[in-house]
This record gives sequence, C-alpha cells and structure tokens, in this order.
Amino acid sequence: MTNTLHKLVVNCETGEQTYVPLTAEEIAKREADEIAFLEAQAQREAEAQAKAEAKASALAKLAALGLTEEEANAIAGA
Amino acid sequence: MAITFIAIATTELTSGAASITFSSIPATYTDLYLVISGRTNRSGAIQDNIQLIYNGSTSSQADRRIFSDMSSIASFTDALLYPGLTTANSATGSVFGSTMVYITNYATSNSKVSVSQGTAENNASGGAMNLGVESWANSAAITSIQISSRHSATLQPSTTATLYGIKNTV
Repeated sequence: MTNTLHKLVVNCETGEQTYVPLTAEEIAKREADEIAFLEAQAQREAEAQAKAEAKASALAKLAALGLTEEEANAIAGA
Repeated sequence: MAITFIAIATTELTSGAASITFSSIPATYTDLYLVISGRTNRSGAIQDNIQLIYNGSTSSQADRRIFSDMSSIASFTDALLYPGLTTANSATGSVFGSTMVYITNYATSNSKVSVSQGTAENNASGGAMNLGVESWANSAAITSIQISSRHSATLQPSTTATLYGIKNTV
C-alpha cells in the first residue's frame, strides 16, 4: 500500500473486499468537510462565549442593584 | 429455530483507509445492525465521530445526539449522520471505540430511522460516550453504507466493521 489514501469496499453479495484509491475530488471533499467543521465549531464556541459573558454582565448589574447572588441567580436561571 | 440474525459481511482493516463501504446490501432482511470497533488518527483528540452515508447520499439526513466527554453533557443536532464514536490519536494505544447502530425497516419506502450508541473508552483519564437517533428521508432501500471519520481522519488498521441482517420472521 502506498501513501495514497484508499477506501475499502466490501461487496455483500460476493464477499469481495477491494481497496480503491480516493479520487482527487474525494480528497478535496474530505479537506473541505473538515474546514467546514472547524468553522462551525469556532462559531458555536464564539456564541457560547458571548452568551456566558452576557450572563456574567447581567449578574454583575443585578448585584450592583443590591440583589444577593442567590436572588440574581434565580432571575438568571443559573 | 430459524436463523433471524445473520452476519451479512465483516471486515478488518489491514491498513489505514479513508472509509469502509458495505455495498450491494441485499434487501432480504427487515432491519440492519452495524457494529464497529474503530480508531482513527484524528490528531489532538481522544475521540472521533463516525459518519455514515447511505447510498452515497448526504441529503435529507438528520441526527440528534447526546454526547458526554465524561465531564459534561451536551446535545447536538446535525444535517448529517454521526451515530457513534471511535477512539483517536490521543487515546491510549491499541484501544478502540465501540459503536452499534440499529437501522429499522431499511428496505421499505419509509424514512430510514436508526438508534445508536458509541463509546470512546480511553482506558485512562478522559473518554466519551454518545447516544443518538438518526434518520434519512429517502424512499429507496439502503443498498450501501459508507463508514468514515467525521473529521476526515484515517480509519486505523485493526478497525473492524460487521453488518448484520435481522429478519422479523421465524
């Protein structure tokens, strides 16, 4: 087996198992899929971070108004 | 007693591969049961997600999962099928993840629904588990199943996959 990436195809009718080299298109799609995943993951993490920061800011403002931590958390659903 | 649970095909990788595909799946069973013992070379991670593609199509797929990395639990929804886990590069050597996928009524014209569970046992600190439901809204019978890494990593040697057919008749 060379460094060329392969896929294994198992034919359920014949039992034949064949390693087939990936096409250039298949290799490009794998790379694009991983880039898309990383971009989506970064967006999810950014949204979660923004949400956490907004919540912390809200709790701080409630504390400044004189609410106890327990009361602030009750309002924020924490 | 009639045999109702039959191994249709099984394979073990002797070298790394981008994917494993079971092709020419006969339509003579009621359900399919896929069992995978897998490891990928995804870098910097203990676990990797398995991706399934039926009949070469990634359209009309839906996936809902509850995932835990053993320190927290999260839920995910995707428009692709990620029904299980393998271990990955940062996992303890020679430890493989386990995944089981039960696909009901794969040869009917209804949507193909499955339930899955997967683990990436690390035999050390860390690890992960995944419980999911998946569907493919397509009227065609499932005739091929491609197994690959969600992260486009390479399935490692000694990864095994077995496809069982289950009949509801006795």
